[in-house]
Amino acid sequence: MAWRVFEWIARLALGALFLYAGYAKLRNPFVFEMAVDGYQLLPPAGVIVVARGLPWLEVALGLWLWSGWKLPYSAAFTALLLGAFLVTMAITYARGIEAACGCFGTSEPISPRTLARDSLIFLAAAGLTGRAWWGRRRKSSAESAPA
Amino acid sequence: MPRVFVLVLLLVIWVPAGLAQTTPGADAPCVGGNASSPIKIEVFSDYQCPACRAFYLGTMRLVLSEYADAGKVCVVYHEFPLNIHPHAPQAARYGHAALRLGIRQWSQVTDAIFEAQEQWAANGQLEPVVASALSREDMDKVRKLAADPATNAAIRRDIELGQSREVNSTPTFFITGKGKTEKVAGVVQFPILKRYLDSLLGQ
Repeated sequence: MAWRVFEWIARLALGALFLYAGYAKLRNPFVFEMAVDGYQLLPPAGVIVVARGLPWLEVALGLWLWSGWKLPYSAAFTALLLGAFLVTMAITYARGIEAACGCFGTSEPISPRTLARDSLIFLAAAGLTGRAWWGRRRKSSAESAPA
Repeated sequence: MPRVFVLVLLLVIWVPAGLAQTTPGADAPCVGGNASSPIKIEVFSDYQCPACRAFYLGTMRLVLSEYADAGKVCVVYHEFPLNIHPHAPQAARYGHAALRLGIRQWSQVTDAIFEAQEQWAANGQLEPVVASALSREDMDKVRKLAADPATNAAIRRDIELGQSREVNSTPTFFITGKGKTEKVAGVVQFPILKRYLDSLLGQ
């Protein structure tokens, strides 16, 4: 029961978070382009592709999580995406680059605080992934068990 | 009736007081463009910071030549020397002293200081770098202005302005256009900044 509650809360909360993050970036796409560029990882063309595509991906992922359809896959994709964000931010911070996180469309700089916050969100997504796959396995083994 | 009179009196006293309040350092001159330009970019920069060097040489110089010279953008540079850079305050004094002399001198000194950053950051020999960019006459004036307490006071006002606007790192810049201001921290490549400026200019 407790796991089921966790699954619901995590799914809805992560979905809301991704919808908000995508919306905040779409509100001012040029500012988000500058935030992506601040990571100093991509040439201008790459920055534009990422900055224009990522917000829509986040909105789509938020809606997918909310729908609950194929949850093991949506949760795994969310965890992978959050893991990629976290690694990118950690590398940028370790390189000593003063960049804005760009997480929610604001100018909040990458800091131990933003890294800790994103780690917690990543853990929630990883937990949801584990729970969704475990639930799916249990369901399929119950269905295949002889009556 | 007396209450109305008191209210009017309070308004008369309070409104001009409010209007007279100005943010310290906010009246800094444009180093490119003019005050009536539709966009204003205010950069908080530290001469000893490598990212500020990259931002100035790779991005802002192009903004100055392509947008400010055409009157589309007013560029303001605020001194924001960081505590971790031992020679940054002296560089800021030279930069501000050059600005007091004129925009051309500021530009010459800023180019020279940023281009030779690695060299003077290592040995602390800033004066020869500044001198190489100016005529002897201008250098004498800059030397005097750099030692003037008013220069220190102006730099302090720039730092206070940055702190009041929550500048935590350099370069940090504020782009004001179409009635809104966006704060951006870090280095942005010219083609990316250009897209935002063009969107503000409606191009």
